[in-house]
Amino acid sequence: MSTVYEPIVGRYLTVDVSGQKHRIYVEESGAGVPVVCLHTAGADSRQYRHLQTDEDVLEQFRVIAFDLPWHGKSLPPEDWWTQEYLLTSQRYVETVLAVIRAMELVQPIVVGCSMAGSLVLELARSHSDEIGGVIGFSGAAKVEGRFQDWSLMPDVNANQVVPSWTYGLMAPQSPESARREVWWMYAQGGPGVYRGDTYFYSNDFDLTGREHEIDTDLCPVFLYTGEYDFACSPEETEQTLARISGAVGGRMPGIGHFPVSENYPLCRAFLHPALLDIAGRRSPTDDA
Amino acid sequence: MSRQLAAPGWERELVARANRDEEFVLISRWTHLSMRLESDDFYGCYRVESSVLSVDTSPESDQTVRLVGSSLAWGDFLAAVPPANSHHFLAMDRRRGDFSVAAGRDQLIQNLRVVNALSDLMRAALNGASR
Repeated sequence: MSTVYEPIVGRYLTVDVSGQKHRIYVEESGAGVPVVCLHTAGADSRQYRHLQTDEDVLEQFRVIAFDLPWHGKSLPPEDWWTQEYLLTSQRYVETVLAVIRAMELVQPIVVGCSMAGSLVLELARSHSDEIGGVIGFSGAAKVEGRFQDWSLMPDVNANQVVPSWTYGLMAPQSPESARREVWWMYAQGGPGVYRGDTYFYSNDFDLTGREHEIDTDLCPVFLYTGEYDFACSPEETEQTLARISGAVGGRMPGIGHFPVSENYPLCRAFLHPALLDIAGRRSPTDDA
Repeated sequence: MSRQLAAPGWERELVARANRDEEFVLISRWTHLSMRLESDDFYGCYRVESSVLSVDTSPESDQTVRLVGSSLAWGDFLAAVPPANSHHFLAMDRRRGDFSVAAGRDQLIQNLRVVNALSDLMRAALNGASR
């Protein structure tokens, strides 16, 4: 029997975030320019499995995806049961940079979707010295309305309702098997984790009025949102783009809030050219 | 009047499709949900009870989910391929001014998995498509 393995391999590393040890699960494939992929609220790195098995991409890029603490195969920190999980901008940035530094990645491209599509804007603004470029999906300077308490209510079965809540954000014409896979991953989140992530997405993060602080010569920015996304509308993304000189992106027809996972072939038409564009701007010393 | 909600035979087709749909039957085994769909001068009431969808003739209660929209909103929602912001009740509630979850939001949230399946069945019943 000849077993065909996917190119993705996984391992664990431990990083320090805000003085606490966190055991992080990391998957990667390919070789070349490092690309760090950040999953959506309440989900995990499996969302990037299509990108991480795209042979054309892997010829030039080392594609890395990790589970945030509290997500997927990354455990919460010690004493997690004594604290409410609420993700903040400061903690989120600190976590992503801790992983990038632990893996000794030089000027990685950071790809993020949903809350991570907003986070990459903050990374571009505040850490352009460490980030080679960012590509965000379903993000904007400010996204309102996603933080809700009901997922922790005792009369709500969050295991079914959270994935059904996010299921509606996808385009109905996206492949059903992919939409169902997104649903399945969301069914596996811990209690309160989706809520805690959306605290960052809709409450804590607000880049409004500071978009101009992003220098796209130092850190190129690509930002796209699907037309069926009613959490972060394409108009909100377009307003953000208009305030960042040199930023590229806009509306993606026929797709919803989870482009990378709900319809990878369509998303790829935006993502791969953006990766190639940013890679083409790298200085030779970045990849020495 | 919403041409789609009042389409001849639609209600009968919806009930028949739901009650033979493998997923709907499976996921609604412990469901007790009443929904009232309203548009201008038309309304329809439906009950999901232990895997069975039926036309609901009982009086409306404070547990009933009331979805109120214009004919245009319902028409967009029930299109074979609905346009953006009209593909889900929550999308229309958030992004359209002519549709709202007028009552029973908690019940809608609690039963969202079944409501999602029912939404697909509503479109399929009107457009003659499989889901």
